[in-house]
Amino acid sequence: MRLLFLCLAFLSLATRAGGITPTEIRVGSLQDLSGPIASLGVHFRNGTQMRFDEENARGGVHGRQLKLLVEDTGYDPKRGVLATEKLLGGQGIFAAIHNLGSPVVMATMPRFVEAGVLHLFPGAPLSQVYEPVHPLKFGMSPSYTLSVPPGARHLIKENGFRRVGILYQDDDMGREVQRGIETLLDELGLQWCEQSSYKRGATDFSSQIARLKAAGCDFVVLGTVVRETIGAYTEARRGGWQVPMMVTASGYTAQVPQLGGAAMDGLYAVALVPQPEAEGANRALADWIVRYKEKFRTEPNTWDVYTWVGTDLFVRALHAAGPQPTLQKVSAALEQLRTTRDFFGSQPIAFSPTNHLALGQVRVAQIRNGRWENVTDYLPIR
Amino acid sequence: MRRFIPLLLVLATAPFILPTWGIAQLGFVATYIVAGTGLMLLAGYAGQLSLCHAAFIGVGAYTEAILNTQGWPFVLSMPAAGLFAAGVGLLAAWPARRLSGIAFAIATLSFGFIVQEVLTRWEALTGGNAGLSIPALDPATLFWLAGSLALTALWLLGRVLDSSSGRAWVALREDSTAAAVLGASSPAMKVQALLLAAALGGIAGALYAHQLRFVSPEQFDWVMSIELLMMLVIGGLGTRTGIVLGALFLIALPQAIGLLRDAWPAALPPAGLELFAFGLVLVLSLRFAPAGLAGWLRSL
Amino acid sequence: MDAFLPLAIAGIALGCVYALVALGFALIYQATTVVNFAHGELMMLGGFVGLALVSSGWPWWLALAGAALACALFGLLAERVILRPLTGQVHIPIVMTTLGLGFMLKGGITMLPGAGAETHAMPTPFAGQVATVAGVPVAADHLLVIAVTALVGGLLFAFFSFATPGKTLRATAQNPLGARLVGIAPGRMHGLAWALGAGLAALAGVLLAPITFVHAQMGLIGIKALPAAVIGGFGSIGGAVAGGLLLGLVESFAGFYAPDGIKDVAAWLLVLAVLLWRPAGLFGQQQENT
Repeated sequence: MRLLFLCLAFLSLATRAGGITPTEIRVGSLQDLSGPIASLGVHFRNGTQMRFDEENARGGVHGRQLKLLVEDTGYDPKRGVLATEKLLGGQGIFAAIHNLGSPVVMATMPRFVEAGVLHLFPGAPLSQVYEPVHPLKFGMSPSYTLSVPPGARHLIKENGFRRVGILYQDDDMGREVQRGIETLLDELGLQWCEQSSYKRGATDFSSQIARLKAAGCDFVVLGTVVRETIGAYTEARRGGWQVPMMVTASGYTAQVPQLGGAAMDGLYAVALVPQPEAEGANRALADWIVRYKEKFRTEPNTWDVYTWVGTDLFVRALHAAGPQPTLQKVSAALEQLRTTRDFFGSQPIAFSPTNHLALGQVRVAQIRNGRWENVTDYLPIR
Repeated sequence: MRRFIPLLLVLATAPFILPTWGIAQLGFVATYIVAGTGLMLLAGYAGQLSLCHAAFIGVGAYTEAILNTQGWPFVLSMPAAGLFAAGVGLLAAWPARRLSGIAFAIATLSFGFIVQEVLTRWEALTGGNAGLSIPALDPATLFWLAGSLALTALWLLGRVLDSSSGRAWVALREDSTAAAVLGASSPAMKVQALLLAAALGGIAGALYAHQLRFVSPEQFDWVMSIELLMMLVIGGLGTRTGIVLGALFLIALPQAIGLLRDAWPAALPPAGLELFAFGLVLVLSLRFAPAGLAGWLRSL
Repeated sequence: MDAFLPLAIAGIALGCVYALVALGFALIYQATTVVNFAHGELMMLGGFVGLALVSSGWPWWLALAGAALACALFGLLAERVILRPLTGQVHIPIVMTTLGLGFMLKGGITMLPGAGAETHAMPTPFAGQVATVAGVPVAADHLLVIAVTALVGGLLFAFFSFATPGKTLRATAQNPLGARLVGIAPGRMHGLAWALGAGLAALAGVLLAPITFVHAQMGLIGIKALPAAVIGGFGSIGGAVAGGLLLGLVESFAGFYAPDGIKDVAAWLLVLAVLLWRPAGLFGQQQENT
């Protein structure tokens, strides 16, 4: 019996110290490389891998190489669960970083945390990933409920809009946007002018736009992703309806002006992380873009910046935690981390024992002449 | 019965031998066997292409999630999940009972979309798109539960097929006119088969909910229904061994592809590889092994 | 009530999108009694082929023809290699085979280096142009879809009603044994049907590119258009067009007047209603056989 207890104690110790050896630190990541958001997943992986490779080329963190273990979930929570058990088994992992997709994150986060693994910066805009504060959970982007209202508040106040409408995708993302704006309207003493939704994969927005137009909205918030943003915006403009529209951070990508063309000029967006634009880039950024393209043979986008910055936070915390990193040390190091604006122009990040959310500010950007330009500086979300 | 003994042994000892990862895998295999048994009744024996099995699984999963959160023990909530799913199956049977062939397939496909929309829109009950989290069950208990339910489902299928209504279903698949002449009314039999399939789907859904610990409407889409059918076709339609082999295959293939991906040339994006492989295996097996893995195993 | 006309016109434009896709379902079904679940993916393939041709400098019209031709060849090949060996089997293996083909296409396209996982815009001669119909602005791309749907619908109707190969196709589908007895090779007829169906899918894929963009998931519209084919009575050419228009109008008006969510299930509720009321569809003549 005592032997069994010893074995169990040993096992639990082993799992707690999982993923770390004198020569390497193993980090897992659940990505969608074959499912509906594979185009995002590829960049999530690339940005993370790039920052790890940079560090490894410099000799690693305190002599340890950083090893990224990517598992493909195809946005399927069942495969996410299996991939999680696989990552947690065997040699284990020290942290899980940038896990992608809300259903996957919701199903797997408790498992990582129960197994004593740092759960860092998932690509799921859910408040559960950073609140309530837990030593192992750190989030990158605020939930849409938090990130969209500051941008909308700025535009509403600036322009004196009174009749706010919304078009949102009928899923968790869209509903969060809708809830966030609802709270904002309460705060401003306004009512919904009109609300309309669509199913994921929709290509026609004529009836929704007609509904918003007929209600006489003077400002429309889009809880949409890329293709739907273009579809809705051009639908309105085609009918000669020049209503100002603002999309969430999901629509703040270079793809929107690229695919939508000149018709997209004037669209506002909430921006969390800058675009890596070669035009007018500083030297460090230009060099980063060149290295990225050499490595991955594709153009970097805002999600590469997002994951590069997240990985950078983790790497800094590992350095700060000293030569014998433990979960407690790294978690504490993250809480004490303070960053300033980097060469991308990212916002300063400051975790604290009561705040485990990295991006606490948003900017408003607008498409002008086919390019995103910043309209405001960073605005606090709370 | 003798065939079950080695399976029982594996079932009893697995949690002590295998790592958690393996247990989780086998747990999913068992869940897919339960769901597959129900679908096999319809597709493999009654010859009806049902494209809404995911809806029954979804209803079962939500029932389990809601009842479990309210403190029901699983011995009560799981049968409730099965019963409730059967109730939904009755609704599906209303348009489907008089249809066969492609019309049956399309009616069930439509029904599946409608159920998914109800799960999404009934926010007060289901939490809508944000989904529901479920308290964790001890992994070993969950595994034994799933395993014994899988064995029970397989045993039950054998009993049903030996009964007169089971023989009538097969008659229906082979020749609906002949079945009618023999006094087996095809609408009534379709209703029975759908009810049983839905109940098993619901129980599988309850297991699935515990294994995922999180349910959201988008998980139970028509792709999941297709995945289950694919599993049965690859395993071998119309055999019980086919269900087990198909379920093993469905869980094993992504792992095999994961291994392959490590050796994958960097120039080719690995995205899509798995979907491609599933499609290829499906097409090849229908072409060269129409009796599935089960038939191939027998021919050895 | 001033919303009525714009909604009706938008509904017709959307309906023609569905109709164009539904025609592909109807064509294959009329000729082979198979529901081709890979139709959406064939469309996607056509979109990508068209995109490749346009980006390598072909004029848009030629790329449209090229994509249709390439996909027709692919359809011919797919029928010969994958589907013909299954002739005579029940519907389950055949439906599953078309699904498998769809998975292979979607997975294969996604694997294209540097292109498969991305969304692309295809430059068209009419991009951004707007025409005015009865005082309502309509995108030129939509007008083209309407025109092509009318043209293809008419051609197919004439083909199946008057042209010998068309009548032969129908005869083969209705009675394969009888067709064989009078000297028709059903296999060759099925090959012809699949070539036509895949070519039509590619046509739709290129024409819809300005509306849906070209990406690996664009085949989803196939599932959205399936109800149109069902409501129209599977296999009826006129029915597919009517079903598409009905669906487009219902979605357009439901999106404006009905509570949120109704628009998204309207199509499926309509399908169930039609199947309850008349199991062979609104216009269908063919008996359902397993």
